[in-house]
Amino acid sequence: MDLILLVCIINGIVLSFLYVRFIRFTRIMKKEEDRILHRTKKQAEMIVDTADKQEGSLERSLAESRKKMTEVFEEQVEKDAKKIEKELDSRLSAYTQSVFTRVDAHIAQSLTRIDTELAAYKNQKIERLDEKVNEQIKKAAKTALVRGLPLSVHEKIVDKAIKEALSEING
Amino acid sequence: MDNLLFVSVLKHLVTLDQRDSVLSLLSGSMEKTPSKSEMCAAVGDTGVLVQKSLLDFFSGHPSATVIEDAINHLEHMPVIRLTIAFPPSAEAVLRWKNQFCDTFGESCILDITKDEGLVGGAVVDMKGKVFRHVLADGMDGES
Repeated sequence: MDLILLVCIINGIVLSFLYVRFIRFTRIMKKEEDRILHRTKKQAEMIVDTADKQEGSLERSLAESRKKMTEVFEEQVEKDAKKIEKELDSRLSAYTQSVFTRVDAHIAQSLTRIDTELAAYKNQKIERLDEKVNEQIKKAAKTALVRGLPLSVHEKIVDKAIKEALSEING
Repeated sequence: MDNLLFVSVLKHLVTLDQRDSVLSLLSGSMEKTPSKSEMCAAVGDTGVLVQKSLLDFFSGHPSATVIEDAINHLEHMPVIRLTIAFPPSAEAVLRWKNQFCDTFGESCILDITKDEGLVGGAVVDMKGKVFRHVLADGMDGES
């Protein structure tokens, strides 16, 4: 009986010892967990902080890079635009010059032709006018002669004309 | 032409207008003999001798055959076309007509046209030939 009791007591002692050890282990583990949690939290904060810092730096770098690229692009565009403008201006100027030259030549040719035609027209008109004036003078002279000659003279001229006609037909 | 009375008419006809008037009278006379006033009106004042010879002709009451013969004769009379620069006197026209008749030995009539452009002289168109003796040709420098 005593033995059993002893065994029971020993068991009780062992169990108590084990329990104490378990409680102690649990506490240690809890502490360790807290410590790890705390450290992890700190590390996470550090990482977040570092990430924040790096994000800002990255954004700045990106902004700077974008600004630089934009500046370079704008500069290039401006250069290209100036180059194109210059080339276009040069080509346009050459084309305009050639058009002006052609138009000037055409105008000069047309003016020469018009001058020639005008001179010819003028001469023709003057000739016609001369002819008309001559015709009118002849007509007036004829009318004056016809009306100026006495009837007897007219009839004598006709007599002569008839005689000549008759002698021609007989001869 | 056998009818001597109509030969007298032919002898006194001078111009184409007179010939046409007489032709018209003769054509009408197939139905009714024209009156003296009709003859005077047709021939006009310048053809007094034609009027007289027409009166003589119709007073003989010519037959239709005679009238037809006269019409035929008139239609085939030679026409001398004369272009001159002035209106001539009746005496001159008669003189010219006689000149042509004497030369050709047959009755002929004159068709006279006025053209002041000739100035003087005449263009004679007879028997299909044209003779030009005008003063205007000299003025225009023509041959």
